[in-house]
Parts: sequence; structure tokens; C-alpha cells
Amino acid sequence: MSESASPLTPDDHEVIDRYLRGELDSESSERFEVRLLAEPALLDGLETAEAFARGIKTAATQEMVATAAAAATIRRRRFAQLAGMVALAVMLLIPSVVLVRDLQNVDRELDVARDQVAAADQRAEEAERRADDAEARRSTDADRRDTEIDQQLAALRSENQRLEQQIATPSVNVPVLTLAPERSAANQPSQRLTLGDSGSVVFLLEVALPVASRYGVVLRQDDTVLWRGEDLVPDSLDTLTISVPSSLLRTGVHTFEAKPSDGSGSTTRLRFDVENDLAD
Amino acid sequence: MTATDHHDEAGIATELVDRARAGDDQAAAEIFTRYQRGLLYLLRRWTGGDTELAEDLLQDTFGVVLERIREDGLGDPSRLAGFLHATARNLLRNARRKTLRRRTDADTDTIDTATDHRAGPLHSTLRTEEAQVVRQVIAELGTERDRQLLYRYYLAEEDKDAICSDLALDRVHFNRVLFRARQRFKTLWQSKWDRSAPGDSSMSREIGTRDLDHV
Repeated sequence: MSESASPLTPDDHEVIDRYLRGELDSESSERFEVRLLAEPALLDGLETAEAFARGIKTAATQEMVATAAAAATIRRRRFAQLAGMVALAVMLLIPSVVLVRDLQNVDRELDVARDQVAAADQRAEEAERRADDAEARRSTDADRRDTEIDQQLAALRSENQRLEQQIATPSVNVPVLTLAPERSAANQPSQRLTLGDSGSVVFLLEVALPVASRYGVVLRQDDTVLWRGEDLVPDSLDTLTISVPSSLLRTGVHTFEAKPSDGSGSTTRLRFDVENDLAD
Repeated sequence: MTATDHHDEAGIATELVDRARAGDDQAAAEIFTRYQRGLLYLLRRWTGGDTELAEDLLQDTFGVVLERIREDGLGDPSRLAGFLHATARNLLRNARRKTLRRRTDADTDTIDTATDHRAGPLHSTLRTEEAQVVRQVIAELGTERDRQLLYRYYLAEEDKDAICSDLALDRVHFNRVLFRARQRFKTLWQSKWDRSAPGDSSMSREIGTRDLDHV
């Protein structure tokens, strides 16, 4: 504090303020400065006013800096919080994304599996349907075959019955055809047999000399073997008697071949022509 | 009786000049003591706070003035303060011319000139303390209007009449608020800094007294 005891007047304060604010002209400013040299009280007042003005500006600046620093701190904290939230969100999001992606993959796999299951079900249904159809067809075929078998069995039974009746019942007007070697030497059969509802035909085969004890006999129509008999023994007239069902004989040229079973002697071939409208 | 006992500046200055011209070394010391504080304040203000340059110019000013007094006296001894003021301004002008001439000679001088001489721990401490005391003064103000008055006057540097008009004050009330705020500021500052005046004038006085022997 200045040692000067003289108080400043309001005008002194006024001029101090104007000097500090640069509002004095050069002449007034110089007069004021000269006074400052000799008036310590005026200098005290000037220094006090200057320090006060400077203090207000410094305080305001510091408050602005503090406010700015606080704002910056808040911004940094907010940024840090935001960054933390973003990081947390990212940390949560990444597994979530992975999880969602995995779930999506699982969903897709499930969809694929469902599709596959549906396709498998469809295929199973199709297979089942086909199996049912096949079963139905098999059943139908089986029924048909059963029917056919039944019909065949019925036919066989009927035939068997007829044959049994035929066996059990004496036959009358049974055709008897004697075939001799000399008569069948020609190219065309000399014997012609017309069959009716006779049931069977009795052939008397006269074997060629010398006569063997046993013969193997084959009945052919063209190249087809209709019947084969082994170890047939000729009777006392050197004749082999063979009863043939008329159903076995069809229209055409037939041949009996009688060949000695021991390989000795010659083979006897006996040809005859058949006309059988019933068998055809 | 010393010159400081007189309250008439013109009479005091005349007496001091006369005594100094007569070879009274005590008068030279009194001249230095009486005017050095204000002169150093002005020099620091004119140099933009360059304390080192201000102190050099202070010594040079007193050297020139005392030599002039001893050799030729002053035309009007009662205007010693004015002569000191004019001499200091001339020396400062010469120093600036010298600085401008030297500025093209050596970059190191330019760098020295460009240095902010106001910076320093003590300076920063004083400014911080000033701000703290100002905050206390403003906090103690009775009304928000008075606070607005101070902010608008010192921060916004608005015209005093405009502020008075806006706040419905007369200039007397305005000046009273300003005066009381500054007086409170001064009181708080003195209680804080052992009765030193606001600013760093106490340090300036100490420096000036220390350097008196070299004048």
C-alpha cells in the first residue's frame, strides 16, 4: 500500500479508468503520467485499478479454461463412455452376430434338414404308395395267378377226372394203326390217321429184322420229340404196341423211331400222317 | 527537513533540484526515491512489461537527469517530474531505434527482443493471486447488477454511459461500485501480501532502491 495519505477524488478514479482504457488523448495522458511520478496515491490507485481489471480478466480466462477443460473432460468422458458402449456393443454384437450367423446357419441347416426330411418323407410316401401299388399289383397278380392256377387246377382236375373216367370207362372204336417198315419206306407217309373224339390211338409197330430184345422208341413230329420210351419189349409178333393219347398228336407228319437198346440191329422208322382238328 | 515532507510538488521539486545542483548527494537520492517508482511503472508499461529494459532505462534516465542538474540545472526546476518523464520517453525512443537497427544485424538480438519478459513463476503466481482476490471481491458484491457492471466494464470493455443506461444507474453509483470493489480488492491484497500494493510495484521499489548506487 502506498504511504501516501491523500485520498483520490472521483475525478482521479475517472481519469485512471480512462487512462487504462486508452481513452485519454496524448496530452492528457502525458499530464496524467507526470502526475503519477509525483503522486504515489495516484499511482497506487492506478496499480490497484489495473490489477483489479487484470484480475477480472484472468479470473474470467481461468474460468473459461476451466469450463473448457471441464467440457473437454466431459466430452472425453462421454467419448470414453461412448467408446466403451461402442466397444461393449461391438463385444456383444460380434458374438451376437456370430451367434445369429450360427443360428442362421443352424436355421438353414434345419431348413435343409427339414427339406431333406420332407423329401425323405415324400420319397417314403412315394415308396409306400409304390409298395402299396406293387402290393396291390402283386395282390392282383396273385389273385389273377391264383385264379389262373385255380382255373388250371380246375382244368387239370377236369382233365384228370375225364382221364380217370376215360381209364375207368372202357373205350370203344379205338383207332389201331399198324406200321410196318416196308410200307413206310416211301417219301410220303402211306398211313393217314384222322382223329376224332377217340381219346387215344393204338399203334402196332412192327420192328425190322433181326428183332432185338428191347427197344428204345421215340415219337417225333418233325424235329420235336413228343414222347420217348425205353426198354420196350416186342411181343411175340415182333410188334411194339403203344397207346398214344390223341391229344398228343397234331396235324402233320409223325415218326416213330424204334432203336434196339443194346445198339445191335438196325433202327426202324415208321411214318404216318395225322389230321387232328381237335388237338390243333 | 527532507523533500518528502512537502506536499507541494513544485516546491519539493525545486528544492531537490537546487540541492542536487549544489552537490548534495542526499538530494540526488531523494530524487531517485521520490520518482523511481512511478517512472519504473511507466517504463514497464511503455516497454510492454520488459522489466530488464525498463530498469536499464530507469537508471539511464536518472543518470541523464542528475547529470543535467549538476551541470546546467533545469530551466524550470519545479517541473522535475515532467523532465524525468520526457527524458525517459526520449531514452526509450532511442532504445527502440537502436533495437530496430540491430534487428537486421544479429538474429540472437531479435530473439532476445521477442522474448516475453513478463513470463515467469512470480508473474504467474501474482496473476493467479490477483484472480483469486478478484473472485472473492465479486463474490462479496451485494447484487447481481454490480457483478454485471464489473464484467461489462472490464471484460466487455463497454462504454460507461451505455452500462449505466442499461442497468439504470447514474455515474455516481457506477463510480461508487467501481471504487468500493477496487478498495476491497486492495484491502484483501494488502492483507494477503503484507500490505504491498496490488501489482508488483513493491518488487519494483526494491529493485529501484537496490540500483540507486549505480546512478
